Amino acid sequence: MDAAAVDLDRPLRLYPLTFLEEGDEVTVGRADIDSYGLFPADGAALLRRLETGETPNDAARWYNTQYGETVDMVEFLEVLEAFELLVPDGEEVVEAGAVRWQRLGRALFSPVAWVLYGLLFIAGIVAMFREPAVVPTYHNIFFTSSSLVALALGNVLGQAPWILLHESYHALAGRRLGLNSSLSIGRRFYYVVFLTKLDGLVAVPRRKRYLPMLAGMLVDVLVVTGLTLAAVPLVSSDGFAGFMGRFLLAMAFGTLLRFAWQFYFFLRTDLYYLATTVLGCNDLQTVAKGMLQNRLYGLIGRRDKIVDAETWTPRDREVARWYVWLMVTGYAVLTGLLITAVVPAAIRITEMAVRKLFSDISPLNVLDVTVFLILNFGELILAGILAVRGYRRRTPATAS
Amino acid sequence: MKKIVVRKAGTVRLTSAAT
Repeated sequence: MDAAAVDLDRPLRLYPLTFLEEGDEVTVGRADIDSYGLFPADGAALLRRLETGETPNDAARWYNTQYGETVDMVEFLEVLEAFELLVPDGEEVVEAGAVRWQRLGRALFSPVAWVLYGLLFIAGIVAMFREPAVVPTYHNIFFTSSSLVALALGNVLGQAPWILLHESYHALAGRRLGLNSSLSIGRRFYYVVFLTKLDGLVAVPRRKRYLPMLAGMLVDVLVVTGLTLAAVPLVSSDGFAGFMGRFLLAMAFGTLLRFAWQFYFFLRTDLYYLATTVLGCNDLQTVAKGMLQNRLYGLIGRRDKIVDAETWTPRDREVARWYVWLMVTGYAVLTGLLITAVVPAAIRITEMAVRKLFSDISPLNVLDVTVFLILNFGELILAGILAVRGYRRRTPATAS
Repeated sequence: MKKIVVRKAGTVRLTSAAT
């Protein structure tokens, strides 16, 4: 559909839209494809006129009467088209069904569930006070001394079910509100992360966004206390029971590390979204990065590269002025960790692996060393691959 | 002619570190 070629004396067809009024702006969009725009109040009012079946010309006349200005209707229709709000000719609107798992989402955050969560948390804390052997400590990572590969394998794979549970809780808290979600793998600096896409949250009132954002960390706390409780009767045993007790505590400590990782808010973790919601921001990280890039381009005289600050919301600009320094400091600290801890560790691990490899060239030993290297470097290498792919996507080769 | 400026809404990606 070409907005310029639209007959302005015929009503337009629009997809079912959601409107959320917040201060001077109205978030309008399609929940079925998660396409949302921040409209000024007059723009949202104009869109509502079109939605009721008024022709664009009639709506423009109404705008002129209401606001005393002539609106650029063709340009407005181009905006609506860019957000995919207009139904193209010959296409039918399919009614979106209810999202799946909504009932489970409601059950998991019902009053009964909250009571159970509270009891589990209290029981776990009491167990830690009564049984010092189950208190989370980094020693718990070393649940076996039989093999380094088994140790690394247990610590890496032992997190998989709890990571999926963390993401499922985000998704189900979203489903409870009727929002779509999807799971993917992504990267935050040099960390590989699992991501739950919940763009529909921008269309619900802010106070309803907190639970879906915090649901993952809530379940992390419950996993730590639950695993600790389960380990209590096992840790003092010998043999397999004792091993299982130690493994449960290793998984609990791993979960605690992932919980702590959420405080790296500048990597756009769950706590970043919580903070930006409280602060009333829209897309703070993008604006902070844009501001930094504008400053750098200004310094090197590349004025053509500078992004127009008007494309950012006033609140984002206001907060980004001080947030940008927090973000830069955060990345600097993580870069420092990379240079002083991750790289030296990687060198030492490689040295150990090479020495072990040449001490015994049997197939079993080669396999042992290979698995060990994959477990230690797999995530870093995957983060590197994702970074290169992301960079290539952002800078497509220009045709010569 | 009055232009109506519409900004793109931010995205929400809730995360967990892979290990």
